[in-house]
Amino acid sequence: MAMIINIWPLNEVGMLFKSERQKNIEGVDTIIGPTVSVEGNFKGDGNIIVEGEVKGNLKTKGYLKATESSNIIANITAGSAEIAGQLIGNAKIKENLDIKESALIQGDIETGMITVAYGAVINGNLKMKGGAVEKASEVIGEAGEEKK
Amino acid sequence: MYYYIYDIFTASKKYQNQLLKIEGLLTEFGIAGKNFKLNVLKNLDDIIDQALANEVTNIIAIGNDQTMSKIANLIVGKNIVMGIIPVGEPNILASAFGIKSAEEAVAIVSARNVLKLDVGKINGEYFILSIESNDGNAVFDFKDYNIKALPSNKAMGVYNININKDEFQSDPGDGIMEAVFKPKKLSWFARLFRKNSLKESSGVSIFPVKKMTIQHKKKPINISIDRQRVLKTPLEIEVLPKKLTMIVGKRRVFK
Repeated sequence: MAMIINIWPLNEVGMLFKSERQKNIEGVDTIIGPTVSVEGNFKGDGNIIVEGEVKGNLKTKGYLKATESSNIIANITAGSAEIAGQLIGNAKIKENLDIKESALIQGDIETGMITVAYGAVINGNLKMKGGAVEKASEVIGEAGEEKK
Repeated sequence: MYYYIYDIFTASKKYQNQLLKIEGLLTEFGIAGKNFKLNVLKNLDDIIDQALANEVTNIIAIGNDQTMSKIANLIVGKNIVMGIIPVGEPNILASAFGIKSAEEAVAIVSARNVLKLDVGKINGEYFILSIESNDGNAVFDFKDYNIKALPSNKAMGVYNININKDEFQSDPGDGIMEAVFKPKKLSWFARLFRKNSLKESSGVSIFPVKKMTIQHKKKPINISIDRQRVLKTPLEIEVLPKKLTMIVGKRRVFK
């Protein structure tokens, strides 16, 4: 132990003994735990963890993590998101959306990038930015070159 | 210039030796000042007014949590630095500010390490630490959304300073307080069948607060203010950033 203290500053030694949750909640502004129900238009700028119930709208510019126990009946908007629970509503995610195997989503998804784990259930439309339009223009370009 | 305000109860015989010792130390540290011993005739408001008129910048409460709260409620937003020398019980506030004994307090007052702290305004009164309730009928209303406790919740509160340092920390200088919901403790059997995602979770909910109202579902409920006094809902809460200037010790429970 003395060795550890010599090598690491005290605050980092403390980190070694922190639980996964404590590590996860650093940099998190809001935690909607499993013993509360949030209703209405929830709007935040920072990172949000949802472990409980949300009804209405949920918006953040930051990262949204909805754990396996989460039950969201709301339209969600976030910078990036990880969804492992139930979502009934549309999701609009600016950057990355990571859908875990325990997720159950009923609603449309609009996102920049997506990862879907084996076992996840999604019922809704998926819209992604960019890709399809760029591919189409490439085909036209190639066809045009052949004519020449 | 220092004003020392002694609470009424310190006139009791059992505190006289301790007070003599404190006064000796104040002289030793060169910070002796004008002493005001509260009694039924001597009004605290008048002493604060006198301090402001005389441009006294340091007011030191000699007493317990109630003494400090009474004085703090009168000097919020004013150009006065407050300190505490704990005498009697309870002394949760002094302890939160890193002051564990009267003797230590004198050295801390002398060092005069000053911090500007946020204060909570609740229906026209002020709180420094927190407001708490364990009544499941409380509804935290944030105008655009509200939060209700589910039956599995045990207690809730709004924290400026978290004296327990459990699960979360509150910074009383950031202009934001934390609305917190704490779950009931689960039996070992219930924990066994918990969802994987909750195994590492303490189940605590945390929401940033600047302004909110505590409502109730059916009947008004009691909310404990700074663990000293009780108010009934509905209660309007607002964070007043850096409105109380306090002398603090190094062993305080916040940064």
